[in-house]
Amino acid sequence: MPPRPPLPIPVFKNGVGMFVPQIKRIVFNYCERSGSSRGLIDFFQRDLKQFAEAHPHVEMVVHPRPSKHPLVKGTFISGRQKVLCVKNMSSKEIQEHIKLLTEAADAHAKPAIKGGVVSSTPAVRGIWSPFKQI
Amino acid sequence: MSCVRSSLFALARPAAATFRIAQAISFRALTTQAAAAPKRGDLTPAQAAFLARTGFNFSAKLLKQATTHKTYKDGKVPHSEQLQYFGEQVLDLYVTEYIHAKYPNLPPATLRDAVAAYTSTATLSMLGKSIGVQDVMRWEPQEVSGKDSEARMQAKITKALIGALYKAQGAVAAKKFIHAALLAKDMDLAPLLPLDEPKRALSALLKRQGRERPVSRMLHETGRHSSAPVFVVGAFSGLDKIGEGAGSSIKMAEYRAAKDALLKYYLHTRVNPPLPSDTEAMPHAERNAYVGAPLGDTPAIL
Repeated sequence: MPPRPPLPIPVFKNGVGMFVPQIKRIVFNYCERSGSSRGLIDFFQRDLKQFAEAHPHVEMVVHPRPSKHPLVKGTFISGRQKVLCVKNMSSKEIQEHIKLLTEAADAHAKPAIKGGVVSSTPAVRGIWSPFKQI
Repeated sequence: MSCVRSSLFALARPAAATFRIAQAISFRALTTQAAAAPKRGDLTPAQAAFLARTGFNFSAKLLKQATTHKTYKDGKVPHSEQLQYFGEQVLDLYVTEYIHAKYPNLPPATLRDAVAAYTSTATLSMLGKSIGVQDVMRWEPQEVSGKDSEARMQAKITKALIGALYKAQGAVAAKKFIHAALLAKDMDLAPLLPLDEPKRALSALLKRQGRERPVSRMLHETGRHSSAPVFVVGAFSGLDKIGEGAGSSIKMAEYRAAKDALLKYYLHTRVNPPLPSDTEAMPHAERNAYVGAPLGDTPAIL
Protein backbone atom coordinates (compact mmCIF):
# COMPACT_ATOMS: atom_id res chain seq x y z
CA MET A 1 0.00 0.00 0.00
CA PRO A 2 1.35 3.47 -0.82
CA PRO A 3 2.15 5.64 2.24
CA ARG A 4 -0.85 7.65 3.41
CA PRO A 5 -0.71 11.35 2.55
CA PRO A 6 -0.42 13.65 5.59
CA LEU A 7 -3.72 14.79 7.11
CA PRO A 8 -4.87 18.29 6.10
CA ILE A 9 -4.86 21.16 8.61
CA PRO A 10 -7.81 23.56 8.92
CA VAL A 11 -7.26 27.15 7.86
CA PHE A 12 -6.70 29.25 10.99
CA LYS A 13 -8.00 32.75 10.35
CA ASN A 14 -8.21 35.10 13.29
CA GLY A 15 -11.76 36.31 13.68
CA VAL A 16 -13.50 33.29 12.17
CA GLY A 17 -15.49 31.85 15.08
CA MET A 18 -13.25 33.46 17.69
CA PHE A 19 -11.25 36.68 17.65
CA VAL A 20 -7.96 36.71 19.56
CA PRO A 21 -6.26 40.10 19.98
CA GLN A 22 -2.75 39.66 18.61
CA ILE A 23 -0.80 41.97 20.91
CA LYS A 24 0.51 40.10 23.97
CA ARG A 25 3.16 42.27 25.65
CA ILE A 26 4.09 45.95 25.67
CA VAL A 27 7.42 47.06 27.16
CA PHE A 28 7.86 50.75 28.00
CA ASN A 29 11.46 52.00 28.10
CA TYR A 30 12.08 55.47 29.55
CA CYS A 31 14.86 57.56 31.01
CA GLU A 32 14.36 59.14 34.41
CA ARG A 33 16.30 62.33 33.60
CA SER A 34 16.07 63.00 29.83
CA GLY A 35 13.60 65.57 28.54
CA SER A 36 12.40 63.37 25.70
CA SER A 37 10.87 60.90 28.21
CA ARG A 38 8.77 63.53 29.99
CA GLY A 39 5.65 62.73 27.99
CA LEU A 40 5.98 59.01 28.65
CA ILE A 41 6.50 59.58 32.38
CA ASP A 42 3.39 61.76 32.34
CA PHE A 43 1.56 58.88 30.64
CA PHE A 44 2.71 56.48 33.40
CA GLN A 45 1.47 58.78 36.11
CA ARG A 46 -1.92 59.58 34.57
CA ASP A 47 -3.10 57.16 31.91
CA LEU A 48 -1.19 53.87 32.17
CA LYS A 49 -3.47 52.28 34.78
CA GLN A 50 -6.58 52.98 32.72
CA PHE A 51 -4.83 51.80 29.56
CA ALA A 52 -3.76 48.54 31.23
CA GLU A 53 -7.26 47.91 32.58
CA ALA A 54 -8.72 48.53 29.14
CA HIS A 55 -6.36 45.89 27.70
CA PRO A 56 -6.26 43.04 30.26
CA HIS A 57 -4.97 40.62 27.62
CA VAL A 58 -1.69 42.57 27.33
CA GLU A 59 1.24 42.15 29.69
CA MET A 60 2.65 45.60 30.49
CA VAL A 61 6.30 45.99 31.48
CA VAL A 62 7.88 49.28 32.55
CA HIS A 63 11.68 49.12 32.34
CA PRO A 64 13.95 52.12 32.85
CA ARG A 65 16.56 52.58 30.10
CA PRO A 66 18.80 55.45 31.21
CA SER A 67 20.20 58.01 28.78
CA LYS A 68 18.21 56.69 25.82
CA HIS A 69 15.12 57.96 24.05
CA PRO A 70 11.83 56.46 25.25
CA LEU A 71 10.59 53.39 23.40
CA VAL A 72 7.40 51.37 23.34
CA LYS A 73 8.02 47.80 22.17
CA GLY A 74 5.04 45.59 21.31
CA THR A 75 5.35 41.81 21.00
CA PHE A 76 2.69 39.87 19.14
CA ILE A 77 1.48 36.27 19.33
CA SER A 78 3.35 35.50 16.11
CA GLY A 79 6.58 36.49 17.88
CA ARG A 80 7.15 39.61 15.79
CA GLN A 81 7.97 42.91 17.45
CA LYS A 82 7.08 46.49 16.67
CA VAL A 83 9.25 49.18 18.23
CA LEU A 84 7.92 52.73 18.43
CA CYS A 85 10.04 55.67 19.53
CA VAL A 86 7.91 58.12 21.51
CA LYS A 87 10.53 60.82 22.13
CA ASN A 88 9.14 64.30 22.81
CA MET A 89 5.54 63.12 22.52
CA SER A 90 2.87 64.21 24.97
CA SER A 91 0.83 61.63 26.87
CA LYS A 92 -2.09 62.06 24.46
CA GLU A 93 0.12 61.69 21.40
CA ILE A 94 1.63 58.53 22.88
CA GLN A 95 -1.80 57.02 23.42
CA GLU A 96 -2.71 57.69 19.80
CA HIS A 97 0.60 56.25 18.60
CA ILE A 98 0.43 53.01 20.54
CA LYS A 99 -2.95 52.29 18.99
CA LEU A 100 -0.74 51.00 16.21
CA LEU A 101 0.17 48.12 18.54
CA THR A 102 -3.19 47.35 20.06
CA GLU A 103 -5.27 47.71 16.91
CA ALA A 104 -3.10 47.05 13.87
CA ALA A 105 -1.58 43.76 15.09
CA ASP A 106 1.72 42.69 13.47
CA ALA A 107 0.94 43.64 9.87
CA HIS A 108 3.21 46.18 8.20
CA ALA A 109 1.74 49.63 7.79
CA LYS A 110 0.27 49.61 4.28
CA PRO A 111 -0.57 52.66 2.12
CA ALA A 112 -4.31 53.08 2.05
CA ILE A 113 -4.70 53.73 -1.68
CA LYS A 114 -3.15 50.70 -3.35
CA GLY A 115 -4.78 47.28 -3.10
CA GLY A 116 -8.37 48.34 -2.96
CA VAL A 117 -10.89 45.80 -1.75
CA VAL A 118 -9.85 42.28 -0.79
CA SER A 119 -12.71 39.81 -0.82
CA SER A 120 -13.15 36.06 -0.66
CA THR A 121 -16.27 36.41 -2.84
CA PRO A 122 -15.10 38.80 -5.55
CA ALA A 123 -18.00 38.30 -7.97
CA VAL A 124 -21.69 37.60 -7.47
CA ARG A 125 -22.01 35.54 -10.67
CA GLY A 126 -18.56 33.97 -10.41
CA ILE A 127 -15.38 34.77 -12.31
CA TRP A 128 -15.51 33.94 -16.04
CA SER A 129 -14.01 30.60 -17.04
CA PRO A 130 -13.64 29.20 -20.56
CA PHE A 131 -15.36 26.00 -19.41
CA LYS A 132 -18.66 27.66 -18.49
CA GLN A 133 -21.08 28.51 -21.24
CA ILE A 134 -22.51 31.64 -19.62
CA MET B 1 0.03 48.26 40.94
CA SER B 2 2.02 50.21 43.49
CA CYS B 3 5.27 48.76 42.11
CA VAL B 4 5.12 51.15 39.14
CA ARG B 5 5.05 54.26 41.30
CA SER B 6 7.96 53.15 43.46
CA SER B 7 10.22 52.68 40.44
CA LEU B 8 9.50 56.17 39.14
CA PHE B 9 10.67 57.94 42.25
CA ALA B 10 13.77 55.85 42.88
CA LEU B 11 16.61 57.22 40.76
CA ALA B 12 18.48 54.89 38.43
CA ARG B 13 16.98 51.67 39.71
CA PRO B 14 17.68 49.11 37.00
CA ALA B 15 15.14 46.44 38.11
CA ALA B 16 12.10 45.94 35.87
CA ALA B 17 8.70 46.73 37.38
CA THR B 18 5.89 44.59 35.99
CA PHE B 19 2.30 45.70 36.11
CA ARG B 20 -0.02 43.32 37.87
CA ILE B 21 -3.65 43.53 36.94
CA ALA B 22 -5.52 42.72 40.13
CA GLN B 23 -8.59 41.45 38.37
CA ALA B 24 -8.33 40.09 34.82
CA ILE B 25 -11.58 41.36 33.35
CA SER B 26 -12.81 38.76 30.91
CA PHE B 27 -14.91 40.51 28.28
CA ARG B 28 -15.42 37.29 26.38
CA ALA B 29 -16.86 35.22 29.23
CA LEU B 30 -17.89 31.84 27.88
CA THR B 31 -20.43 30.82 30.53
CA THR B 32 -23.97 32.14 30.50
CA GLN B 33 -24.14 32.61 34.29
CA ALA B 34 -21.92 35.13 36.01
CA ALA B 35 -19.46 32.83 37.80
CA ALA B 36 -17.78 33.94 41.03
CA ALA B 37 -14.21 35.00 40.26
CA PRO B 38 -11.89 32.21 41.48
CA LYS B 39 -8.82 32.99 43.58
CA ARG B 40 -6.35 34.74 41.26
CA GLY B 41 -3.85 36.10 43.71
CA ASP B 42 -0.66 34.47 42.47
CA LEU B 43 -0.91 34.74 38.70
CA THR B 44 2.06 35.99 36.74
CA PRO B 45 1.30 38.88 34.32
CA ALA B 46 1.69 36.48 31.37
CA GLN B 47 -0.85 34.08 32.91
CA ALA B 48 -3.30 36.88 33.71
CA ALA B 49 -3.01 38.16 30.14
CA PHE B 50 -3.56 34.62 28.82
CA LEU B 51 -6.75 34.18 30.85
CA ALA B 52 -8.09 37.53 29.68
CA ARG B 53 -7.25 36.75 26.05
CA THR B 54 -8.98 33.36 26.01
CA GLY B 55 -11.84 34.21 28.38
CA PHE B 56 -11.16 31.16 30.59
CA ASN B 57 -12.28 31.46 34.21
CA PHE B 58 -9.57 29.35 35.88
CA SER B 59 -8.08 29.63 39.35
CA ALA B 60 -4.31 30.17 39.47
CA LYS B 61 -3.82 26.59 40.72
CA LEU B 62 -5.76 25.06 37.84
CA LEU B 63 -4.02 27.16 35.21
CA LYS B 64 -0.63 26.23 36.65
CA GLN B 65 -1.45 22.55 36.57
CA ALA B 66 -2.91 22.63 33.08
CA THR B 67 0.14 24.38 31.64
CA THR B 68 2.80 22.26 33.39
CA HIS B 69 4.17 19.29 31.48
CA LYS B 70 5.59 16.31 33.41
CA THR B 71 9.13 17.14 32.24
CA TYR B 72 9.03 20.38 34.25
CA LYS B 73 10.92 19.85 37.52
CA ASP B 74 10.87 16.08 36.86
CA GLY B 75 7.18 15.84 37.67
CA LYS B 76 7.59 17.01 41.28
CA VAL B 77 4.87 19.64 40.82
CA PRO B 78 1.27 18.80 39.74
CA HIS B 79 1.36 18.26 35.98
CA SER B 80 -1.15 18.14 33.19
CA GLU B 81 -1.14 14.51 32.06
CA GLN B 82 -4.58 13.63 33.44
CA LEU B 83 -6.11 16.84 32.12
CA GLN B 84 -4.50 16.08 28.75
CA TYR B 85 -6.22 12.73 28.49
CA PHE B 86 -9.46 14.30 29.63
CA GLY B 87 -9.13 17.00 26.98
CA GLU B 88 -8.51 14.39 24.25
CA GLN B 89 -11.78 12.66 25.09
CA VAL B 90 -13.71 15.94 25.21
CA LEU B 91 -12.28 16.99 21.85
CA ASP B 92 -13.07 13.63 20.24
CA LEU B 93 -16.68 13.83 21.37
CA TYR B 94 -17.48 17.34 20.17
CA VAL B 95 -15.47 17.16 16.95
CA THR B 96 -16.96 13.80 15.92
CA GLU B 97 -20.57 14.73 16.58
CA TYR B 98 -20.17 18.01 14.68
CA ILE B 99 -18.53 16.54 11.57
CA HIS B 100 -20.99 13.64 11.53
CA ALA B 101 -23.92 16.07 11.73
CA LYS B 102 -22.47 18.56 9.25
CA TYR B 103 -21.60 15.98 6.54
CA PRO B 104 -24.26 13.26 6.74
CA ASN B 105 -23.12 11.48 3.56
CA LEU B 106 -19.45 11.13 4.45
CA PRO B 107 -17.97 7.61 4.21
CA PRO B 108 -16.95 6.24 7.65
CA ALA B 109 -13.22 6.12 6.86
CA THR B 110 -13.34 9.78 5.81
CA LEU B 111 -15.20 10.71 9.00
CA ARG B 112 -12.47 9.01 11.02
CA ASP B 113 -9.75 10.82 9.03
CA ALA B 114 -11.50 14.17 9.38
CA VAL B 115 -11.75 13.80 13.16
CA ALA B 116 -8.09 12.74 13.23
CA ALA B 117 -7.18 15.81 11.17
CA TYR B 118 -9.05 18.19 13.50
CA THR B 119 -7.45 16.64 16.60
CA SER B 120 -3.96 16.02 15.18
CA THR B 121 -0.80 17.38 16.80
CA ALA B 122 -0.27 19.85 13.95
CA THR B 123 -3.79 21.27 14.21
CA LEU B 124 -3.83 21.53 18.00
CA SER B 125 -0.40 23.15 18.07
CA MET B 126 -1.72 25.79 15.64
CA LEU B 127 -4.75 26.24 17.88
CA GLY B 128 -2.50 26.67 20.89
CA LYS B 129 -0.29 29.16 19.05
CA SER B 130 -3.36 31.15 18.01
CA ILE B 131 -4.33 31.68 21.67
CA GLY B 132 -0.74 32.34 22.77
CA VAL B 133 -0.08 29.18 24.78
CA GLN B 134 3.71 29.33 24.21
CA ASP B 135 4.05 32.04 26.89
CA VAL B 136 2.35 30.12 29.69
CA MET B 137 3.51 26.56 29.11
CA ARG B 138 6.06 25.12 31.54
CA TRP B 139 8.26 22.29 30.29
CA GLU B 140 11.84 21.13 29.87
CA PRO B 141 13.06 20.21 26.37
CA GLN B 142 14.73 16.78 26.53
CA GLU B 143 17.88 15.78 24.59
CA VAL B 144 16.02 13.30 22.38
CA SER B 145 13.05 15.62 21.75
CA GLY B 146 13.60 16.34 18.07
CA LYS B 147 12.84 19.47 16.11
CA ASP B 148 9.06 19.44 16.50
CA SER B 149 9.13 19.13 20.27
CA GLU B 150 7.75 22.61 20.85
CA ALA B 151 4.80 22.02 18.50
CA ARG B 152 4.05 18.68 20.20
CA MET B 153 4.20 20.39 23.59
CA GLN B 154 1.81 23.14 22.44
CA ALA B 155 -0.65 20.47 21.30
CA LYS B 156 -0.43 18.66 24.65
CA ILE B 157 -0.91 21.83 26.68
CA THR B 158 -3.85 22.84 24.49
CA LYS B 159 -5.51 19.48 25.15
CA ALA B 160 -4.87 19.91 28.88
CA LEU B 161 -6.41 23.40 28.79
CA ILE B 162 -9.52 22.05 27.09
CA GLY B 163 -9.74 19.33 29.73
CA ALA B 164 -9.35 21.95 32.45
CA LEU B 165 -12.01 24.12 30.79
CA TYR B 166 -14.46 21.21 30.76
CA LYS B 167 -13.67 20.34 34.36
CA ALA B 168 -13.84 23.87 35.77
CA GLN B 169 -16.58 25.45 33.69
CA GLY B 170 -18.60 22.52 32.39
CA ALA B 171 -19.67 21.03 29.10
CA VAL B 172 -21.38 24.10 27.61
CA ALA B 173 -18.32 26.32 27.98
CA ALA B 174 -15.97 23.64 26.61
CA LYS B 175 -18.23 23.04 23.61
CA LYS B 176 -18.52 26.77 22.87
CA PHE B 177 -14.75 27.14 22.93
CA ILE B 178 -14.12 24.09 20.72
CA HIS B 179 -16.68 25.28 18.19
CA ALA B 180 -15.38 28.86 18.13
CA ALA B 181 -11.65 28.16 18.18
CA LEU B 182 -11.43 24.91 16.19
CA LEU B 183 -14.56 23.77 14.37
CA ALA B 184 -15.34 27.18 12.88
CA LYS B 185 -12.07 26.93 10.91
CA ASP B 186 -12.71 25.42 7.50
CA MET B 187 -10.97 22.30 6.28
CA ASP B 188 -11.23 20.87 2.78
CA LEU B 189 -12.21 17.20 3.11
CA ALA B 190 -11.83 16.39 -0.62
CA PRO B 191 -8.29 14.92 -0.23
CA LEU B 192 -9.65 12.44 2.33
CA LEU B 193 -12.40 11.00 0.13
CA PRO B 194 -12.01 7.70 -1.80
CA LEU B 195 -12.12 9.12 -5.33
CA ASP B 196 -9.65 6.90 -7.17
CA GLU B 197 -12.21 5.14 -9.44
CA PRO B 198 -14.94 7.76 -9.73
CA LYS B 199 -17.01 6.30 -12.55
CA ARG B 200 -17.17 2.91 -10.86
CA ALA B 201 -17.96 4.44 -7.48
CA LEU B 202 -20.66 6.67 -8.97
CA SER B 203 -22.26 3.68 -10.69
CA ALA B 204 -22.38 1.71 -7.43
CA LEU B 205 -23.72 4.71 -5.54
CA LEU B 206 -26.61 5.35 -7.91
CA LYS B 207 -27.47 1.63 -8.01
CA ARG B 208 -27.67 1.62 -4.20
CA GLN B 209 -29.90 4.68 -4.25
CA GLY B 210 -32.21 3.05 -6.80
CA ARG B 211 -31.68 5.86 -9.31
CA GLU B 212 -31.02 5.58 -13.03
CA ARG B 213 -27.49 4.53 -13.98
CA PRO B 214 -24.99 7.37 -14.71
CA VAL B 215 -24.62 8.55 -18.29
CA SER B 216 -22.11 11.09 -19.63
CA ARG B 217 -23.36 13.69 -22.09
CA MET B 218 -21.38 16.32 -23.93
CA LEU B 219 -22.48 19.79 -22.87
CA HIS B 220 -20.07 21.91 -24.82
CA GLU B 221 -16.95 21.39 -26.89
CA THR B 222 -14.51 23.54 -28.77
CA GLY B 223 -11.31 23.09 -30.75
CA ARG B 224 -11.68 19.31 -31.24
CA HIS B 225 -9.11 19.19 -34.05
CA SER B 226 -6.84 21.87 -32.62
CA SER B 227 -3.96 21.56 -30.22
CA ALA B 228 -6.00 22.87 -27.29
CA PRO B 229 -9.45 21.24 -27.30
CA VAL B 230 -11.92 21.83 -24.48
CA PHE B 231 -14.72 19.36 -23.75
CA VAL B 232 -17.34 20.02 -21.09
CA VAL B 233 -19.12 16.82 -20.06
CA GLY B 234 -22.04 16.40 -17.66
CA ALA B 235 -22.73 13.28 -15.57
CA PHE B 236 -26.46 12.56 -15.69
CA SER B 237 -28.79 10.25 -13.83
CA GLY B 238 -31.78 10.22 -16.16
CA LEU B 239 -32.54 13.87 -16.79
CA ASP B 240 -30.81 15.19 -13.62
CA LYS B 241 -27.32 16.57 -14.08
CA ILE B 242 -25.39 15.44 -11.02
CA GLY B 243 -21.87 16.53 -11.98
CA GLU B 244 -19.87 18.48 -14.52
CA GLY B 245 -16.27 18.29 -15.63
CA ALA B 246 -14.06 19.90 -18.25
CA GLY B 247 -10.89 18.60 -19.84
CA SER B 248 -8.74 18.49 -22.93
CA SER B 249 -10.02 15.01 -23.86
CA ILE B 250 -13.49 13.45 -23.61
CA LYS B 251 -12.21 10.75 -21.27
CA MET B 252 -10.64 13.33 -18.96
CA ALA B 253 -13.83 15.38 -18.91
CA GLU B 254 -15.95 12.28 -18.16
CA TYR B 255 -13.64 11.30 -15.30
CA ARG B 256 -13.84 14.78 -13.83
CA ALA B 257 -17.62 14.86 -14.20
CA ALA B 258 -17.94 11.61 -12.24
CA LYS B 259 -15.56 12.98 -9.59
CA ASP B 260 -17.58 16.18 -9.33
CA ALA B 261 -20.77 14.16 -8.85
CA LEU B 262 -19.20 12.15 -6.04
CA LEU B 263 -17.81 15.27 -4.33
CA LYS B 264 -21.21 16.94 -4.46
CA TYR B 265 -22.77 13.87 -2.85
CA TYR B 266 -20.19 13.11 -0.16
CA LEU B 267 -19.58 16.73 0.84
CA HIS B 268 -23.25 17.65 1.03
CA THR B 269 -23.31 20.01 4.01
CA ARG B 270 -26.07 20.46 6.56
CA VAL B 271 -25.95 24.09 7.69
CA ASN B 272 -26.33 24.67 11.49
CA PRO B 273 -27.03 21.00 12.16
CA PRO B 274 -28.90 19.98 15.35
CA LEU B 275 -26.31 18.38 17.65
CA PRO B 276 -27.01 15.86 20.43
CA SER B 277 -24.90 17.95 22.83
CA ASP B 278 -27.33 20.85 22.32
CA THR B 279 -29.53 19.10 24.87
CA GLU B 280 -26.95 19.88 27.57
CA ALA B 281 -27.97 23.52 27.51
CA MET B 282 -31.71 22.94 27.00
CA PRO B 283 -34.37 23.18 29.72
CA HIS B 284 -35.95 19.90 30.79
CA ALA B 285 -39.09 20.03 28.67
CA GLU B 286 -37.24 20.93 25.50
CA ARG B 287 -34.71 18.20 26.17
CA ASN B 288 -37.41 15.55 26.28
CA ALA B 289 -38.84 16.82 23.02
CA TYR B 290 -35.43 16.66 21.23
CA VAL B 291 -35.44 14.77 17.94
CA GLY B 292 -32.05 14.05 16.39
CA ALA B 293 -31.11 14.77 12.78
CA PRO B 294 -32.04 12.00 10.31
CA LEU B 295 -29.28 9.46 9.65
CA GLY B 296 -27.51 9.51 6.32
CA ASP B 297 -27.08 6.34 4.26
CA THR B 298 -23.93 4.21 4.42
CA PRO B 299 -21.77 4.37 1.28
CA ALA B 300 -21.98 1.85 -1.56
CA ILE B 301 -19.58 -1.10 -1.35
CA LEU B 302 -17.46 -1.54 -4.49
